[in-house]
Order: sequence, then structure tokens, then C-alpha cells
Amino acid sequence: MSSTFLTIAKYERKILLRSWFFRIFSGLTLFFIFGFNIGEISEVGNRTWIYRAVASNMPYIAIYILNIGQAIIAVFLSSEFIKRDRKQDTTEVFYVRSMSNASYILGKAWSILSLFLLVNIAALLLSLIFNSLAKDTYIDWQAFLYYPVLISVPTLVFIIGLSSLMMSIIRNQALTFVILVGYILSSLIYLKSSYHYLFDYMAFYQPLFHSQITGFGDWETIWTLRSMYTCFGLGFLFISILLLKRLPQSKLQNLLSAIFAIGFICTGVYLGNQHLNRYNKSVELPEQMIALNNEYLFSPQIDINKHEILLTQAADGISVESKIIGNAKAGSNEFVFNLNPGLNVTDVKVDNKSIEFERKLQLLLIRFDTVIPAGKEISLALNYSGSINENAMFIDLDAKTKFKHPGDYLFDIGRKYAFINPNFLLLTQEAHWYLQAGVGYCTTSASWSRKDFIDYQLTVKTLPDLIPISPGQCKEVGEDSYVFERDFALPQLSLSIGNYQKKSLEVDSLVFSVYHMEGHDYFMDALPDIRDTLPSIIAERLRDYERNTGLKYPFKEFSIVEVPGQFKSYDRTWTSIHQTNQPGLVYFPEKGLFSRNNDFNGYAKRIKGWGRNREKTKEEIQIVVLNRFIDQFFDFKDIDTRFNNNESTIEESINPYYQFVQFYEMSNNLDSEQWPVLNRVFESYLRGTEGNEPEWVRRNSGSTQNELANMVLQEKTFAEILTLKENQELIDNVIELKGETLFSLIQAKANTDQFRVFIGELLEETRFQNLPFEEFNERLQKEFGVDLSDQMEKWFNEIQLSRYRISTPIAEKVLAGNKEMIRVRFSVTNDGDSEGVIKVTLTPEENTDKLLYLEPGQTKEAFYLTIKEPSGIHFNTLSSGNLPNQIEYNFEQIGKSSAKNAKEEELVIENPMVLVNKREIIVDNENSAFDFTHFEEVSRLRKWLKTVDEEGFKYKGTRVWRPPLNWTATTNDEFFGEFIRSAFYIKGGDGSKEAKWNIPIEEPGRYDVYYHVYKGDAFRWWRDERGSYQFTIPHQNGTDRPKIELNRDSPDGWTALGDYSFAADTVTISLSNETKLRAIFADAIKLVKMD
Amino acid sequence: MNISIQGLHKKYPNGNQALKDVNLEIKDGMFGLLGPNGAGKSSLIRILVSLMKPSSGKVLVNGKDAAKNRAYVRSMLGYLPQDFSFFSNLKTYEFLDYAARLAGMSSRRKRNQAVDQLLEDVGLFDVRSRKASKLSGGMKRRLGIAQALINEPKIIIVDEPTTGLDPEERIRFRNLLARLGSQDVSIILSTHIVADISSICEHMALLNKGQIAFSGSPEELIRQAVGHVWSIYASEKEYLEINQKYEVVATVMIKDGWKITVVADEVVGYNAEPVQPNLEHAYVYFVEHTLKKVNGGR
Repeated sequence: MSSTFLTIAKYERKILLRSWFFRIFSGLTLFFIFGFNIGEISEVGNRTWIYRAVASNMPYIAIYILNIGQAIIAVFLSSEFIKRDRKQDTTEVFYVRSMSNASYILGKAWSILSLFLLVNIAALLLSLIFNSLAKDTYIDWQAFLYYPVLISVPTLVFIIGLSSLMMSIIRNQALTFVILVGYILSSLIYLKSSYHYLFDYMAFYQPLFHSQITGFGDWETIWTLRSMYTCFGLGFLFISILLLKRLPQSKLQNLLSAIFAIGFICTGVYLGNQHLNRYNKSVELPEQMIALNNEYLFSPQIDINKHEILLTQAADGISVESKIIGNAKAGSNEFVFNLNPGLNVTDVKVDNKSIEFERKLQLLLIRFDTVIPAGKEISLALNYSGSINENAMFIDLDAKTKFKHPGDYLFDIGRKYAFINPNFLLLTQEAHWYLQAGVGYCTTSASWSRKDFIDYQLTVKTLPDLIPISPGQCKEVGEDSYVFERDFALPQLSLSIGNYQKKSLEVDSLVFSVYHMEGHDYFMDALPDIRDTLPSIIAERLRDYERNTGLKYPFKEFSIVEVPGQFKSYDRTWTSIHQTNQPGLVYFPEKGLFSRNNDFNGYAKRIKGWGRNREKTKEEIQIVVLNRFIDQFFDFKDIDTRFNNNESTIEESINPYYQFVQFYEMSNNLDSEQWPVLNRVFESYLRGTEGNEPEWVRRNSGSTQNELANMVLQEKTFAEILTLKENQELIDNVIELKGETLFSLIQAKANTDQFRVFIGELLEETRFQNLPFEEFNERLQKEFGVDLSDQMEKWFNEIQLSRYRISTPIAEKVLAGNKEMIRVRFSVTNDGDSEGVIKVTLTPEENTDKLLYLEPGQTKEAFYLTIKEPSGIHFNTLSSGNLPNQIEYNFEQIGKSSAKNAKEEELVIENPMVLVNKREIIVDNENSAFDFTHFEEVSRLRKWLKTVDEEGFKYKGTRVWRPPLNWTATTNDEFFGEFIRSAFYIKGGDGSKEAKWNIPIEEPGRYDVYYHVYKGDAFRWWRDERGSYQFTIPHQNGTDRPKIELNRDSPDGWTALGDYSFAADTVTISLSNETKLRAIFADAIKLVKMD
Repeated sequence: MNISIQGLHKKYPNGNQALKDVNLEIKDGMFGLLGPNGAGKSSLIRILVSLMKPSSGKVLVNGKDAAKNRAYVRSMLGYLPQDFSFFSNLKTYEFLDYAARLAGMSSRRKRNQAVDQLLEDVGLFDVRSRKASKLSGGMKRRLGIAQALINEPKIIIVDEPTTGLDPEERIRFRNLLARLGSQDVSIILSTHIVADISSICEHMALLNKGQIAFSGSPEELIRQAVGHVWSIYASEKEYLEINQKYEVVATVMIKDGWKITVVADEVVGYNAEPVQPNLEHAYVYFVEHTLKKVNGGR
């Protein structure tokens, strides 16, 4: 059989190799891989760090790209074979030869497979060449073997088998091709990673990232699914042998084929079933755990004060001796704890006497013989061992969130929440590897999530030659035995063990360390010219940050600890702590592979050629590189733009390496039983607005998340919003906004600059312990006379809506005492039904924001003094009915006032601020008197692509580079509007679309007519942008068609259209879309009565 | 080599009875299988080359049941199907080499020799590097026979080999088969062209409507037609009459009319003279007279 099989394979391969279809495909794919390597990996391209940091990603991406093409082409080629066999003439001369059907089919299949493997080798060679030429990397030889074996072989075997089988049954190549391509596309577009990658035969979504530290993330799934597809492919091939329209030659081989077919298919089904069982368990377990948590939420707990842990590391698990000292929170004989369900408790002792306990998944119920009275101290000792069940982690998140393809790179890096490997271990609080009091995540109440500071004493016995890392000072106390010492309590405990090496430097008695794996100290060669100044630069950045936040770094050490790339953490609503952050340390992915900021040499090389950098010295460039590296610990949010059907959406998430958590969350806790979210709310106030989204976010998507949060708060209470589980991103932003508003309000009420100083001192005082809300409130009352408890209930459970009418601010030179200063004044009316606060900032930014407090219905005139001439003023109306809630004014000129003894003050004014004078009529686009021609003009292609019109947010982005074909609402602080500054805009066109203002004239007479012109980005971006706005104004003497000509230099704002006589009627002024401008904005018309 | 066909029946799923109780003995040498289109020749051949199962009956090759010993039969088989024109992207010599490997020639040296020899024999050596798909119709047919002959098969089965060939190619082809037929090989030549058989076959069978109508030597078939083939010189008017009355097998236009050859038991008038029949005459006589009588008699 073997010689016939090889003969068939040899000649069929030759035939395939000569087909243009195959040649073109291979050529194009290899060319694409070449291009990708040039663009992403080579020195002339992007030098994308993820490929260089972990070099196995280079062959991975080559095979990944190739696989997409080969999966489809193999369908065509294998069905082509069978099709040729149906042309029975030439084939018959082979059919009558002495060979088995198995040799024939397998020979043909092997010919395709071997040919594609040759293409794989070519792709890998290409990758190897680029890999060898790339700097700051290495070659992972094994990856050149395991990626084709894991990706290409199962994909090809499966698709060749499936195509042969389908073709044998359907016997129509076109139909087979259509069905199979349909299957492929549905697996790519619809099924994606569903059922934990069950349908992902191409391994397109399945993470196959190979960490240099721990290898593949989920080897069991990889092995199961790739073997399953291989088995199915082989099974299908053997069935095809049985279905071949040729009289079999050997009964034995036929029998063997049948046995193999059944064997492989059964094995495939078995593996698939195993996988599904694992998947179902992974889905069911969190549900069961949550149900249990809900059930035992209010069961008596022990308030743990001290926790001694002795952990012994094994190759496949851990064993722990744990000793807990705490007080009973309530009198009971049963107390509830939680521990990862993968860990088996063997023994629970009190005073060396075993007591009864019961395990219910994650829960541990400990039963005493007698009732323990509330407050009594209890000392418990228990032993447990086992491994960590990762399905029991992040149980609040659904599978869709957990397995979402991050989209940052073509392939998915994967996700692991805990590691227990022979050479590496990583356990965080989320793993529940140590006993914690009470239950975990609940859906019925938020009260489960109360942070507590506990005095942890950790002793670790590692496997030989491994080093453990955990918050605190590590001391070796015996062979492979270590103790962690610290003089502060921790809100959470984590442990990593690995083949770590340490590099550290000390600045101002603060030790900065990097714990890296052997050979990963590439950073030591980076920044060679600023090595001496490096500590001071780092210290300066830290001190700057401390100054800006008014908070002090609470630890003596800050360590960056390298962990495998798959280590993943998620945003939660109840805390801003990512599992990547631990007290005084951050878990950083191996070689910082996700960010080019961590490719020090590459980044320096890249920026050298940019604009002003060309003149910079080596040292200066290296300082820029260092600062970029440090920036990633201070950026609050990761903002991603995603494009979908011509719409772009912005996705925001908390940067997992954001270190503000060290300054508050890791060291302080504002503890409230009634409002647990208060801690997070307080934190967002402390952090302030440093997380403001850039302007391009709202330009693209029409609104920032902050504005969306604001809109939601106008319709729902805070308590209601917190239950909208599906919209985590929005909840995060609501918390931010609510937090900032609440504490800004308190600060404004306190009406003193000392508020932040007081907060800073209070936090220092209560460091590493809980600050009960009641105590916090008492202190506030005592210090500033502000009682929070009065408003908390309302703040939480009522819709609070303030909205502001703000006059145009005026900046003028004044005399303050005998000093000339600039005074900025403006009036504001709070038109809403609840109190509110506005943050006012003069630009260029001054150190402190001014907070302007307004009661409902109150009007204030504010006067602010500054020495520096301001270019503008920024209003942040926080949680309010204003849209956008951030408004910026630029001062065109600074006048002079004769006012003397000017001072900063806020005066309460009787009459509310009005935007429209008595003699004026303004009709804005938000007014019901505004209308426009409705068209359903969408390109045909778009209509086909997007059959269901998704109703999104009313206001879209202002995208002048691609304006909409229909009148579309958009917001901008440069538009006119009482509370909502919006306009409708449309692509410049032929005059077929109009916007109309139906203006009621009560008093006949002569009026000046003005239009509110918005110029916006188009005139900034395109120097030659010019064109006109054409209006039609019917008046008593006929109809006029005035124009406003716009160019780069023409003014914006209220622009005169002329004066007209109107009768007491409704006048309809219309604006046409006929213009050479890219877009036309329909905003507001103003009529001013002339005398 | 001895091929014994015993009680072979073939009925297709659509109800068409292609073969009915076919019994034949085929020895070494050239064996011609003659019959009109649709007589069942191709069905018989597809059964002989193990491409198809008979409904009943069996084929014994050297006493072995072909259905149970397909490997044995296939190992000594060379086959040229009727419509042999589709080629993949292989060169002429590669195509033969592929066939040679499948025919069991594992030694590369021997295979190269055999391939070259065969290419020489069929006159394709000069185009050995040309793609098989680029060969002319005749060349393709020659390549077809070459692949059937590779590795010296003991049974060669060719189905309608000369269809579509020009006369020169046809003669060359017959000669090639005749040369092989003189060796220790059974060659079964299925055709509806009588001349293919008359020139080279020692034995033949005539298949009609799925049944063996005649089995013997071509001479025997001819003998049956002696005295039944007539030559007539006829005028225009007579020609039309004769055409109505008798089976005309040849018509030649001469100076004052026509020279017509007819097959008939007896010709009345027209100065008909008996002539010596050839195999073609015999075939027509057999099909038109003997079979019709037999069938009519039934």
C-alpha cells in the first residue's frame, strides 16, 4: 500500500503544483505574509513589540495568516479531485490498476496536505528570515514546529476530509463548495468562539499564544479541539474511502477503513463531548456559585483580623496550612467562608480539636459545638490542598465578556486568571486561594463586596530554585522556604513563584524593582545614556503625581513583576482594582509585550525621526522613552475605536496597569454597609478628571462615555443604573460622574480650599484600615459643617437633575487692590430641580478648579481673578441636563474695566439668567418649530449589509470628513443651545434637502435676522474650504435668498442675514444643502425687533 | 492466459438489461468483440476490467474468480477506455511513469527504460516532454494504448480504440495491437468497426442486445455468408428499387449507373452475381438475416 499511496501522492502533488489556482493562491498568501513581516516585524516597519517580545508570535502570525487562505483553498482543491474522478475516462485507467481504494483516497489527500505543508514551510522560512533579521529578539525554534502542527495540520486534515466526504455524498463540486464556504464563513462570523471555540476549526479565534514562561494558556482545550478536528478529518477520509465509486480491491483494507472511520469519528465525538462537558461546567459553575452566594449572603461571618498562611508549592497544586484569628460578627454556631472549589479542605481545628465543617462548592461552613457570641475572638486552623479551578474566578462575568476577542492583534493572546505550573505559580485574591470570610459575588445585593484590611503572615515553601513574590519583604528562612514580613495590613493577598531575578534601584528610600524571568532583562541595555539620571526622573514623576492628586504613595516598594502574557483581569463595578495590581506591585505581562512603549530601543528609534525629535540629543530621546514607559502606569483608561458599518464606536476600559489604585484603593477604604459603592465613588472624586476622554472620541462617536452616563442619569436613579449589569462600561462612567459630582458638591458646600488638604490628612491617618462612612461623615460635619447622611439617600435613589444656563463669560483687566489682574465674570442659573456644582477652569490650566455651587433655581454671578491672561474658560457641568456637559469659551479679547478693589466672589442674583432678550426671538434646532426634509438615503450596499437599523444614541459624531446623507443630530459646545448645544448636519449637496425654522411672529414689524454659524473642524483641516449657506426668507415684500459666505477667516457665531419686515404670522426660514462646503449645519435663527 | 465468462448477466437499476447470459472463452491472442452500439460491449468490458459488478454470473481468469481476486486480475490488466481524452497537468512521459508505478514497476531504471521503449513504440518519443493535454487526438490514443501496455500486462482490453482516428493512425494502431497479439497475451478488442477485427483478430464474438450471437473465428462468420453476398450493376431506377428490397452494403457509382453490393439469401433478377464475402459483409448478413430469423423464429 505504501508505495502506491506515495506514487499517487507524488503525481497528484505534481498536478496540483502546476495548477494556476494553487500557484496564485500560494503566491498571494506568501506575498501577504512577506508584506506583513515587512510592515510589522522588520526594522523598516512598525517593529511591533508583541512579535519581538515573544518570538514564537512570528511563526504564529505567519501560520495564522496562511491558515485562513489554505482553509478555503483546500476545500476547492479537494472537491476538485473528486470532481475529476467523476470524469471517468482517464481515471478509469488508474481505477483498473492494482491498488486499494484506501491508497487512492489517502494518496490524494496526502498530496494536498503535503503540498500545503510545503507552503507552510515556505511561510515559516519567510518568517524565519525576518525573525533572524529582527533586532532585540530571539528565535523560538520549537514554535516553527508546533504552530504548523497545531494550526495547519488539523485544519487541513479536517477540511480535506470534510470536502471529500461532502463531495462523495453530494457529487456536485459547486454545491459542495458553496456549502463548505458557507460553513467556514459562519464559523468565522457567527459561531466565532461560541461553546469555547468548539466550531473554530481554523483556530482563528482560539488563543494559541505560547508564553515563554508557561507555554500555552489552555493546553487542554487546544489539545482536545485540535485532536478532535484531526480525528473528524481522518474519519471523514476513511468514510470517503468506503464511498468511493470503485470496486474495492481488498476486503481487509475495506474493513480496516470502516474500523478507522468509526474509530476516528468516535474519538472525535468523544473529544468534542469532553470539551462540551468542560464548557458546560465552566458555564454552570459560576451560576451555581452565585446561587450559593445569594443564599448564604447574610449568614454569620467572622471578621478576620489576622491570617497566617503556610503554602507549600507542588508541581500541580498547593497545600496550605492556614490559621485565622478574628471575631464573630454575629452570634452563631455556624460561620461562612469562601475558598476556591478546586481546593479540598481536609481538616478544620479549634484549639487543636477538629470541628465539623461542610463544603458547598466555594463555600466552607464551619460549625461549632456551641453558639459563639458576637464579638468573641475565634482562632481557627485548617488544612487544604489542591489546585485552582479557574471557572470559579470572575464569576460575575458572562462567557461572552470573558472570551471576547480583544481585537488588538489578529490573534487572541488568551486569558488565564491563575497559574499553577511546575515552574510558575500565580495566585491573586480572585483565585480565592486563601480563606476569605463571607461569600463572594452576589446578584441580590452589593453588600458582599466589603473590603477589609487584614494582617496576613505568609510563609512559602517553593519547589527547588524558585523565588516567591508577594507584597512585603521576602526573607529566606530555610531551604526553599520564605517568609514575607510587612508592617501594614492588606486589602488582598497575592503570590507569584517563578524563576525570578531581581533588578532594583532605590530613590528617596523607595525601592523600585523589576522581577523578571531569566533572559528577560532586555531593559538593562535600554536607556544607556540616562542611567545615572534615571532614578531622579522616576522619583520626580512620582512626586509630581503625588502633588497633583494630593495623596502620598503608601508603600516602601514598587515592583514590576513579570507574569505570563495570558494573565488577564477585568473591570469590575465595585472596585477599580484590577487583579494585575497588588499592594506595592504590579503584574506586568512578559516583556511588556502588549505595548510598544516597552520596546525601549525600538521606540527610541521610531521617535527619533519625528519632527522636533530630530534635534534632540540621545539623552533627551531616552527621557521621552522612559516617560512613555512610565505613562502607562498613569493613564486611567484604555480607549479603543471600533469600526462597524461605517459607524465608529469607542470602547473604554480601565487600564489594568493604572497605579492610582496604590494611592487609595490598596491603602484606604471608605466603608459603608448601606452603600458599598461609595468607596469607588470616593476614589473617582480623588482621581478627579484626569481621565477625560480626548476630543476625537466625541467627534467620532457623537458623545463621550461621560456624556452618555450623564444622559442615563437623567432617566434613571443611581441605584437603578448599578443594576444594569450588561452595560459595565456605562456603569463605570456613571460611578465616575456621580462620584465626582457628589464630592465636588461637598467640597463646594464646604467652601474652603482646605477640603482637599483635610481629605489627604484623613486618608494618611486611616491608612491600611477601614474608614467607616459614619466616622467620615462625623469628621466632615465637625470640620466643615456638612452632613452627608442627609443627602445620601436622595443621591442614591432619586433622579437628581440640575441644568445650567450660562452667560457668555467676559474677561477684563481690573485693579485688585493696587495690582492689575484679569477678572473673568459670568452668570449661571441652575434651571434644574436639584442642587448642583459646576467645575470652572481657566485655561491655560491653573492648578485648581473653581467649584461653583448652585441651589435649584438659584442664579449666581461669579467673579474669578487671575494674574496670567487666560485664553479661555472651561465649564464642566458634571452630572447635569447640559449636553455637552463640558463647555469651552475662548476669549477673543480682554477688555478693561474701571472696577476697583475687584475680588473673587460669587454673588447670588435675584433674576435668573436669560439667553434670549425681550426683543429677540430665537428658534433653535432643539425647538419643535424646527424641521427638515426627511430622506431615507442610504447607499444600497449599506442597506444590504445592515438590514436592521439599530436605533442608537440620538446624537452622532461630527464627522466632517464623511458627512451623513441625511440631516443628522450632533452636539458641540460651539453650537447654540439653552441646555443642549446641538445642530443637524448634512453633506453639502444640490439643494434638494432643506432645514426649516417656523418662527412665530407675534408683533409685526421690521426685524434683524441672524444665523448661528458653526465652522468647526472643516476649516481647520482644509485650508481651501469655502462655500456658502443659502437661506430663503419670505417677508412682506417678497422672498429673499440671502447667503453667508464662509471661508477660513470668516467669523462664526451670530451672523446677520439682513433686516426684513414680517407680518404677525409664522415665518418659515429655510436653509438649503446646496453648497460647496463639505457639510452644512442647521443650528439656530435669531430675530431681533428693530425700533 | 484463459478467460472464461460464465452466465454473465447485468441489469442496471433503471431496468435496462445490458447483458443476458453471456458465456465466452477467451484464450491468448487477439479477441474481437463486435456488436452494434448498445449491444452491451462496454458493460461486458467494464465487468472484465473490474470497474463494475455483474448482476450474476462470473468471470474466471486462469480459473480464478475475478470478483474475488481483483488484485490478481488488476495486476495483469492493461485497459484503454473508449473515451480517453481528459488529461491532467502531466507531461507525456510523466503520465506513463505514473501508470507504470501503479502497474507495479517500482524500479526507476526499469521504469524509465520501459517508458522510453513504449514511447518509441507508439511514436511519441519526440513529444515525451509535451503536456499530455496538448497532444493531438491520435497521439492521445497512442498514449492511451501505451499506458495500457506498460509493464507487459497479460490481459489487454481496448474499448473502441480506433474511433475518431484518421486512416493512417488506425492502421498504425491495428499493427501495434497485432504485434502484441502474437505474444503470450490476451487482447480483447471491443469495437463496432468490423475492419478493426477483420485485419487482426483470430477469434471473435458478436454481441447483440446483450447476448452472444456468434462466437468463433472471423473466417467462420464469413463462411456463413458465402452465397449471400451479391454484386449488381444497376441503372438509376433499379438502384432505387434494390435499395428498397435488399440490404445494400456497398454502392459505387460507375459510368452508366451503379455497382451495388447487397446481402441477401437470394436476389431475383438484376443480373446479380454472387461474390466472395468479407467480414463486413458477413457481419451485416449475420445481424440482418441470421439474427432476425432467429429472433423472428422465437
